[in-house]
Amino acid sequence: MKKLNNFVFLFFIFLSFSSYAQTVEQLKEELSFNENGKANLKVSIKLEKGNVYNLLIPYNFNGKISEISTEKGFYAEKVNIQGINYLFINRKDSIKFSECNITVIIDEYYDFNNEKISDFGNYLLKYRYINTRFSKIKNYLLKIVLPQKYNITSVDESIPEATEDSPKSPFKLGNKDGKYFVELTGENVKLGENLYIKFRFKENNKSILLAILLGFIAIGYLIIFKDLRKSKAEK
Amino acid sequence: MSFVKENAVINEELKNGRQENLDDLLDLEKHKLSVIPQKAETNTDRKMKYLGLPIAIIVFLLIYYMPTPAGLSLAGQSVLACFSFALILWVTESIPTHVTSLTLMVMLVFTDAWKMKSVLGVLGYDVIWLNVMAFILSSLLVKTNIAKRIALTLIVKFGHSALPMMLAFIVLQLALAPLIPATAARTVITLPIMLIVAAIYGSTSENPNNFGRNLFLQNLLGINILSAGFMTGSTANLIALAFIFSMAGTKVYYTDWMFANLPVVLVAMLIVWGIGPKLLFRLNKKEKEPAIEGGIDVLKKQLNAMGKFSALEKKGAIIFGIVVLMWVTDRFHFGLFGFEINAVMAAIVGGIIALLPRIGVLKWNEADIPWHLMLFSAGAYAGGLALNDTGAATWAVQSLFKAINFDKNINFWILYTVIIAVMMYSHFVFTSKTMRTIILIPFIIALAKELGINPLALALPAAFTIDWVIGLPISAKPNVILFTTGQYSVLDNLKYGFIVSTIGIILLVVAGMTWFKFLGITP
Repeated sequence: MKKLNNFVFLFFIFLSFSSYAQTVEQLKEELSFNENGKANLKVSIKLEKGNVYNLLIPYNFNGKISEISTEKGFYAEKVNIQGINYLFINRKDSIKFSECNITVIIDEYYDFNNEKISDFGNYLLKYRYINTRFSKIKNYLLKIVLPQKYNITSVDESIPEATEDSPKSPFKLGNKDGKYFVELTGENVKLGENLYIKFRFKENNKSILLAILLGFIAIGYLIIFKDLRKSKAEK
Repeated sequence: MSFVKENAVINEELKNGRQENLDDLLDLEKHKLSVIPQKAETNTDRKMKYLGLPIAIIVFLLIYYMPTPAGLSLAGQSVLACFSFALILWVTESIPTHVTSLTLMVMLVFTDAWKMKSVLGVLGYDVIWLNVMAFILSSLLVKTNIAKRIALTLIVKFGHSALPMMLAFIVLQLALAPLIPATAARTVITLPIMLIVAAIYGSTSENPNNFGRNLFLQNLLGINILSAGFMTGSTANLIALAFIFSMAGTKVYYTDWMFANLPVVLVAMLIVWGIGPKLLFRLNKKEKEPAIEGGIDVLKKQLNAMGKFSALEKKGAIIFGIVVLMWVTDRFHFGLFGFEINAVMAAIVGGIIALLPRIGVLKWNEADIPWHLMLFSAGAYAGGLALNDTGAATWAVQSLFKAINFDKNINFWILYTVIIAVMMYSHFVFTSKTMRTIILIPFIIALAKELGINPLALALPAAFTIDWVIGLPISAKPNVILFTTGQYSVLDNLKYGFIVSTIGIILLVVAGMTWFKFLGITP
């Protein structure tokens, strides 16, 4: 009986959220984190048509959400439905809406001590967005901004990925205000599909020892092979 | 004159010491590619050698330590630095080219530019296997005297002087191009003939001369760009056409392509045939004629002395014929056997038969494989692939396009020239025709649409440059194979490639204003 009650309760919750089976015109996520691993995630969503009273946006990141802020008149909180995490957005005045912006502060988003991989001081970052809610997301944009002194070594994997049929790279790298970032774009992300990026990054400083060593090699070469300065006849 | 009498005459000449010279030249066993030749060096070579390494180090440090440009990853930046370093060393030869390649492989790993597994894995790439098999098959043609017979026949018919000899090779490559689409296969077939002809004109790997440079680089050009004459000449051509169809809605047929571009390619070949020996690598009087005392007559006698096909030649011809048959019939394999035998696998099958005891004609020790040059190829290819993989090549070309900043009022012919030039020269940074095509052709179509121009007018002429991969020994598989003969240096290849690419741009612009206009491709 208790199980049946739970099922009925969950069923009603699902039905009550009018965002289910909505088509999203655009979903943007901008995640920037600092050297302590604390992150700031800005989410902005625009529905294709029709207005809703409330909205569930699935999220799939680790860390503890310490604060959620919204535009004036909105209210947001995290909820977990059947093991899936969502940001639940509502208007305080129960007016329908089709666009909203939320900012989430995540403590301990990135653990610099545990995520360091052995090669060349690189760290690994994986980010996956699974569409567990909307019938389709027409345009998805993820921007991950690294802390000030870090830079992207290489993007090792992405979904979608460039293919012969679709040669345009789904990600691009950039730099704004001295911070390096990677942007991943996806189009027409259907319910159940996911977008993913895996990349390595590391501190931007390079060992000066290599420059000194190569300098010595160059000077040594010029000394050892100084006979090459002379013409063949002189030699 | 009977065969016995001919032999008697030749034996008499041998006694006089005249034939010894010819035998020396024709005996490729004495010019083994696996032995690194001691080359004569000029004063300029010595200066370049002296300054090469320090300059390479300075360039490496400048690129490696500069702030990472937007759009480029740290790995991409490191690859650019390492590749520039290696390119300078390949050109100046401060250290041997194969040692430079090994250095490049180590640097790619040390600077975190490309993963060790990927770098070392390049030795397993098809181009390396094809290289090994090319030299086994080439050894087969040399040992069985087939190469010598074909080369002597060609020389006796066309080789009274250098220019007709080189023209004969253009005709040969033109005949092979539509039959065998795989450029590497065509290289393997003609390589031993080139080696013997070059030797007869006095050009060996120990002592290459301008005839050898012209012959090998002209063949490199022919093998690559004659593929541009046919839509099916390379997979990249077909990919470009698929983009033109899917993104611009225009279907290009086999004959459209051939009528438009084959004349351009042929004119290019003839121009380069004309100016190569006169301007690019000027032939002196000695290099214009066979370096054989007694001239063509002696070669005629040598050819006659070979008599009819020997059993060994027949065996060699059958084995090589099987490989050629597999290359020519590649499109029917699936229908016939239910599987496809690509060019590399066909060459390996040929190598297996050639080395089989009793059935084959070669022993392993007789296969002349220049391993030092395999290492050169592997390292150079690793650098090129890393440029592709890390996005550094794409970043370089896209940055160039962004810097040009096209606007809607731009004159069509200026835009056309820039597009053709960028597309043509981009082969200096891309080692893959396919990558170059899938990155640049959609970009060109999108740009044309944005500027309100018929995409076909820009994209099809741009696609005609896909097979112009002539600038560096790593630009394409035939280049890798031909470079290993030691008949020309990286600098020779770079110089020839740059000048001929520029001629190609001029030709395509002139064709765009005239021939393509007549065909309705350009406005």
